[in-house]
Amino acid sequence: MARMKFLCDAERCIECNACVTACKNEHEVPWGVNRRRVVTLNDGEPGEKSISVACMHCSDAPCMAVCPVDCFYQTDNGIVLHDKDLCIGCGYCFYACPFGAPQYPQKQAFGVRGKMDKCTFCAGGPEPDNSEAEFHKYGRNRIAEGKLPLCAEMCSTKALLAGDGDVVSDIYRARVLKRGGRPQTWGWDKAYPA
Amino acid sequence: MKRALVCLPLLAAALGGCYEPPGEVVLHRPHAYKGKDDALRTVLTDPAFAERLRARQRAVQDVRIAGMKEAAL
Repeated sequence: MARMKFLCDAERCIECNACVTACKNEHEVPWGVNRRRVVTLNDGEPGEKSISVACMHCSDAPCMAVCPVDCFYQTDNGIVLHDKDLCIGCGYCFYACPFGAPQYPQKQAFGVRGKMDKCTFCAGGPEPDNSEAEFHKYGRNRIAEGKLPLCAEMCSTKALLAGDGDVVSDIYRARVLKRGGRPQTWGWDKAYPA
Repeated sequence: MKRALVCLPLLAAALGGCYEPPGEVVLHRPHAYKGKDDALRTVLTDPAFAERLRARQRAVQDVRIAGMKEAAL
């Protein structure tokens, strides 16, 4: 059985934030909630590196382990999803998650939180596939349509990969073997190829 | 002594009123999903569907033009 995984190639990510925008647009994510974000290290300095981060759909997901109402479930191919009808918005999953993936919409004044929202790997949730209820609660279900997450499919530099972990590994391995340990995006070899 | 004799039956009656049969109590079972079923879970177990997703992944996320693969890597 395939394991669905994300991988962001830090050598290719150009911090364009198109994945963030595409995700928000596709799922009509509410204001203040980012299912995906781009993190940049040493921003503005030569050699800065960016990666796009969302829920990484952990094999042994800590959010599932700490949820007091057990609203999380994992599909056979490793996608971590949750039921918003059960979620109480307690925030335990946010503290457990090493990636800061769970997000909470602000519902009222004084920081009153709503139900947790996170990347669904474009797989919706426990509602009839592509129903209005599913779209309203979880966003579009592209997996049911035979598609993969939009953030990866529209990445212009193909930095973000998503899908079967074996295929992701194959693509990334081929890149690393070709370019070696050093980035070849810019440099003498590009400007003056032999 | 008299007060205790009056209070003890009242206390017993009050506590008895709070009794719930254990069979009716919903107990917390950690890590057992308690929400609704997702129809997609059964779809994803289909090997043909997994292969379709894999083919799309290769088509969309890998280098698209076979001849350009070496150059684009």
